[in-house]
Amino acid sequence: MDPALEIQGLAKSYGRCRALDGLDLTVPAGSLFGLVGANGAGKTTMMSICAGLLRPDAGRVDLLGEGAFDPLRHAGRVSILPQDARLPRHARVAALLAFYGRLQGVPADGLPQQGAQLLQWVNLSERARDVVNSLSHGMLRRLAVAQAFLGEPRLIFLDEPMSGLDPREVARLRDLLRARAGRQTIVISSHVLTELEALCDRVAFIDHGRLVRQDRLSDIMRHHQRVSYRIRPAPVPLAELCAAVPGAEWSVAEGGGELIALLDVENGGIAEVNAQVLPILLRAGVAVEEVRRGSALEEEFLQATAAR
Amino acid sequence: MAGGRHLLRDVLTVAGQELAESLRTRRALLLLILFCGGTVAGTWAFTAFLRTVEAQLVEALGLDAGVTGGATTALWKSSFFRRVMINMAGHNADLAEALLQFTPLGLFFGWLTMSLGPWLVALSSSGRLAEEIWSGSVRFVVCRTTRLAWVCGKFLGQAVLLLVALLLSGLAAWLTGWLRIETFHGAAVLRDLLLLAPKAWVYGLAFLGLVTALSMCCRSPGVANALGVAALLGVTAAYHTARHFAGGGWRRIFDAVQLVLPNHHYFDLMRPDWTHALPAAVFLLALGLAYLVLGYARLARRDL
Repeated sequence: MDPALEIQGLAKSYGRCRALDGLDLTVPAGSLFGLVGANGAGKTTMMSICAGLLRPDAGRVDLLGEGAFDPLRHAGRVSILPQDARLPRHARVAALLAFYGRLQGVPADGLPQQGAQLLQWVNLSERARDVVNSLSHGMLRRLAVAQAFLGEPRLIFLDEPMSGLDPREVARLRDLLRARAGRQTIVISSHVLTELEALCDRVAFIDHGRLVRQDRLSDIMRHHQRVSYRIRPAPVPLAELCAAVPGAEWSVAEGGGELIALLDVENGGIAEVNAQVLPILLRAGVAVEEVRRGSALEEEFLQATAAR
Repeated sequence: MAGGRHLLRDVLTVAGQELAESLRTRRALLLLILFCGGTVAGTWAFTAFLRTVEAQLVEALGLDAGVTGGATTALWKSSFFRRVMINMAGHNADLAEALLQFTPLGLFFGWLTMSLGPWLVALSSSGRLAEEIWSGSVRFVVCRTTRLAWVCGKFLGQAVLLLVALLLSGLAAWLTGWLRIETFHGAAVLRDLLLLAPKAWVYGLAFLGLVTALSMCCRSPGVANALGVAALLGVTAAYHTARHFAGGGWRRIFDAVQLVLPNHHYFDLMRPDWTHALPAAVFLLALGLAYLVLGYARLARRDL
C-alpha cells in the first residue's frame, strides 16, 4: 500500500527547546493512524508542519506522494484539526463551513448540501444558523472536526479530536471515524490511549521528538494485556499467582487496593487467566470488587519510552 | 494561469468574509460612525466658522445682509487669504493657487479626511491579522489557501471598508453643508467631494499597507494596535525631520527618505490637476503595496 505520509529526519526547535529531533514516520494510505506521546513529545508540531502551519528546521515531508504541503496542490486534499486554534467567534456555523469550502474549491452547488451533511454528522444541524460564539466548548470541537472533513480530503490530521467531548459524542465520533477507515487516511493524536486502541489500526510512539516505535496495533497488543483487580487491601499471594500464570508480571499498587497483572500473549485469554487467578485470591481471603481490562497500549508505550 | 485564477478567487473570498465579519462584529459600524461623525462635527464647526467670518465681513464692510455667501467667495479669492494659503502650503504659491480651485467645504473635507483617515486606519485595522494569528483561526484558512491570498484578501476587505466610510463621510459632509450654508453650491461641492474622497482613500491605503505589514509581524493584537499608532507617529516624525534636514550634497539622502513616506505625497495628491495627483496616487499605492510585501516577507516564513 502506498504511503499517504512519509516523514524523514524532521526537526523543529522553539528557541532552545527541540520539539522534533529527526522524526521518521510512514503512514500507509487508508489507515487510521494513532500518534501516542507524552505532552511535548512533538505530535502537534509534527501535524502542524505537515499542514504547512509551521516551518521545519530540517527534514522532509511527503504528502500523498506530492512533496511538502502546498496549499495550491493540497487544499481540499489534506486537512487538519489544529489543537488550540479558535474558530472565528462572530461567524455563523453554516456560513463558516461554506467559506472554508469555497476556499478549498468545493463546487458552489454542492456546498450547502455538504455543509448540512457534516453538521448532521457532528450533531450540530440545529445550530447551523447560530453564531460560533454561542456554541459550547464541546460543540466548538465538533464544528472544528467537521471542517476537517470538508471536501472529502484524502489525508486528515486530527489533533486531540475527542478533547472536551461528552461520552456520547466520543462514541459517535469514534463510530464515524471507523466508518471512514480505508477511504481516507486519518492521523489522530490523543492522550486517551483506550480511544486510540479502540479506533486505530496502526500506532506510532513518539518521545522527545523521535519515533520510538511504529507498528500495527494488533502487533503491538500481541505482547501484553493489562488486567487490573480492585481488591480490599489484604496480603496477596503473589508467589502462588506467579506460579499459576507463568510469564505474567504481578504487582500490587501502593495502598494495596489494586492488583495489576501484565499478561503475556502466551498466557491465553483474560477469561482463562481469571479462571486460575480468582480462585487463588478467594482462597487467600482477598475480596475482589472489580476486574478491569487495562490499556495495553499504555503499558507498551510506557515500556517503550521508559528506557529513554 | 490556474494558480492566478485560484489566487484571485481566494482573495475575493477572503475579502468578502472580512467585510461580512466587519459587519457582524460592528467594527464596520464603528468605523462609519467615527468617520461620518468626525466629518459632520468637523464640517459643522467649519461652517460655523464660515458663518462667523461672513457675518463679521458683512458688518465690517457695511454690506447688505443679502450678500452673505458672496462674502465668503470674496474672502476665498482675496489676496490676504491667498497669502495665508501660501504659508499653509509651505510657501508654495503654485500649490496654494491649485488648492484654492476647490470649494471651501471641498478643501476642508480633503484636509479632514486625509488627516483623520490614517488615524482611523491605524486604530481599526492594525490588529486585524494579528488577531487571527493570535486566536489561531488563521490556521483553518492557510491550510486551504496561500498565505498571500489571505493577506491580500484581508487588505482588500479593509480597503473596501475604508472607501465606503470615506464616500459616506463625503455624503455626510455634503448634507451638513447643504443644511448649514446659505449659498451652498451643491454641484461644485459634490464634484470636489467625489474627487477628494478617492484621493483620501489612496492616501489611507499607504497607511493601511503599513499597519497591515506590522500586523503580520505580531502575534498579539494589542501589540499590533500599539505598533500601528506608533508607526503612524514615527512616519510623521520621520517626514518632518527629513523635510527639515533635506538640502544639497549628502543631505539629499533626506529627499530620498521623504519619498518613501506617505506624508510627502500629501499635497501633490490634493492638487486638482492630474499631472501632480496621478503620479502621487501611483506612488502612494506602490508604497502601500511595498509595505505590504515587506510584511508578507516576514509572514511567509513565520510559524502560524
